[in-house]
Amino acid sequence: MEAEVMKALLEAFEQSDWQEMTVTIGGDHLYVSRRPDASAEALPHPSVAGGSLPGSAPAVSEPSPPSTAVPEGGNGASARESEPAPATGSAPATGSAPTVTGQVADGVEITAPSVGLFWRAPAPGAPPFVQVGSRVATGDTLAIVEVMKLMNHITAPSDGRVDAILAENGAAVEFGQTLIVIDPEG
Amino acid sequence: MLRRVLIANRGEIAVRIARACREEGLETVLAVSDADRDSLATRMVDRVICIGPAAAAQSYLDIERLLAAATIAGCDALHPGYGFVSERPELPDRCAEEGIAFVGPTAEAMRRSGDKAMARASARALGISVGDGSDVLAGVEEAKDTAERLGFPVLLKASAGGGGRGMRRVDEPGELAGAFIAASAEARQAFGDGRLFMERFVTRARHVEVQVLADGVGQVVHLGHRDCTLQRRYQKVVEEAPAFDLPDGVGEQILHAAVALIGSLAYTGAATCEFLVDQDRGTWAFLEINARLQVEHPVSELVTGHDIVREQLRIAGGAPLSFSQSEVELSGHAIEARVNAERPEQNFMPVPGTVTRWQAPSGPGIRIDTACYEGWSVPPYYDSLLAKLIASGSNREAAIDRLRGALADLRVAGVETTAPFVLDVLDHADVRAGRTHTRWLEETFLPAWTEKAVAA
Repeated sequence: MEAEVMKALLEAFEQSDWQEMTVTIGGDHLYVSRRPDASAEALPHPSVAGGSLPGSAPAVSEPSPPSTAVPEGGNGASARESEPAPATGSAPATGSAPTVTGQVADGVEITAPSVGLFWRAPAPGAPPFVQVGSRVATGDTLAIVEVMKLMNHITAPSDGRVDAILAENGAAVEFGQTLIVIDPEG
Repeated sequence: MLRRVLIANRGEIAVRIARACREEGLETVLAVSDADRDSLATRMVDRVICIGPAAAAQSYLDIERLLAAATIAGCDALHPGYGFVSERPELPDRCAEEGIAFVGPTAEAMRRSGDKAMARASARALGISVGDGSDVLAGVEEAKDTAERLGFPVLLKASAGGGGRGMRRVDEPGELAGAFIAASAEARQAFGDGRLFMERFVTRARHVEVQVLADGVGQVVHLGHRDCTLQRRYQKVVEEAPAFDLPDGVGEQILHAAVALIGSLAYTGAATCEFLVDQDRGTWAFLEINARLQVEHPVSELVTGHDIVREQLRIAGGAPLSFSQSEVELSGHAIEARVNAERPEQNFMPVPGTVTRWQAPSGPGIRIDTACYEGWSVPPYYDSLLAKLIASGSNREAAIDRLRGALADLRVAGVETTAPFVLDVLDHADVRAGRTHTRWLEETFLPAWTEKAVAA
């Protein structure tokens, strides 16, 4: 990976509110994270990775709005043909390809109660209900699954910390698809 | 021209629609419940979308979820199949709002044809016999007066009804008030509409129906008639085409009546007009319209050579019918048996399970419409239809013989089926001779058969 490319990617990361970033170009992999406990294990071939760049994280002087990271894979099988989101303002500018996710942990998986569109905020332009890392209490609204204008609020089944958000804002989701993971211990 | 169709149904009819779409060059998206993620149709479509849990109320009966799947997948048409929401006028209404072509009539035409009292009035206005009966009854008093006029026994029916719900046979005056209240309550619960009307009860009737296709651009044609007299609790067991041994002139009369009636309703798509034929009196009466594709449509396809589901898709896309009435020529006879995952010896109790062996019959004149495959788990949430075995032959005798052979060749393990029961029905002398009526199966055949089967 050329230095200029890497620099541009790091600048993009700094300006984003992403928590982690993984980039693969050919055989090169770059992984950066704002997490203090970050490691490069998420990479497919850690041995050739650009490595963890703990020093690269921007000084976290204000509460960072950690929301999203971009690993490979993702499970947004149904997300392909949806219209772009009417915006929570927090969606990463990564185009349409990858699904937005955080870490998949052994948390409580919250699944879609219906086919529909996944919304992270109560209205276009409004701040999202939760971000990765948000603390939530039982019954808090985490997101919305819209079925033809009918807004189904997705609520937290337990207290905890949002560990992962597995669908992109505005994405089409299917019944049973895991949307959010909550770490009840977190 | 349509491009991409949402199949808003399950089981064998989802498979049937997927095939028709393929032949019409249309892309397919299948809406499934959580219980149907492994259904046969999922392997035949371009895309599968899980819309809800197994419970039909939150999946196949939920119009908004079906529409969400259709819009998300970019479908420009929706085929409702039969059952579920196929006859709810809200569905074509909502499709129209979303710019999706509904494969079926408009909401207005569906209301005009689906409401039994309204359809009856339309038929009467055209001079079509609707039999002795009433319009919507105001209450028990009017019901009593009507029953006295018609003579007992009478039949109370739900105006919005179907499948026998909201229907009561009343044999004497003392039963009437109770039956009226019960039928009305049942109809209100099932259809959200407690209106009832009354018919004279025909003791020995054949159920004969006419398949109609209307393209909305000038043509209304029939594909002949069918006999669906062999029923149990208003559920058809064996269906055949054409109807046989009809009293003189009745066949032609009901074909004309059906085409005239559908033609008067600004109707588009497939419709079936049901009639009761009174064998004793040699008379007939219009019963109701089914504003959708019917389970037994294959027998009409086999005797006419026309594909009803493909024509439905063409019509929904704004195209005219691919044939005219003069190109409908009936050839031979076809008969269909419904094979369900049920135990007939125990009052046809459904017996869901995993199909560990599925060896379907084949051969000349045999068609099987099914969603079965080895390893498939028949879900307990929906109807128990496993397969429709359909046989055709040069005449009724030949067709029945073929169907008999096909039922005998069917090898199923893992779930019990009604195949042995249907085989015995087909072997009965009354069926072979056509000496049956709509209550024959329940009143004549089943008591003797059940006693024998339970003893064995």
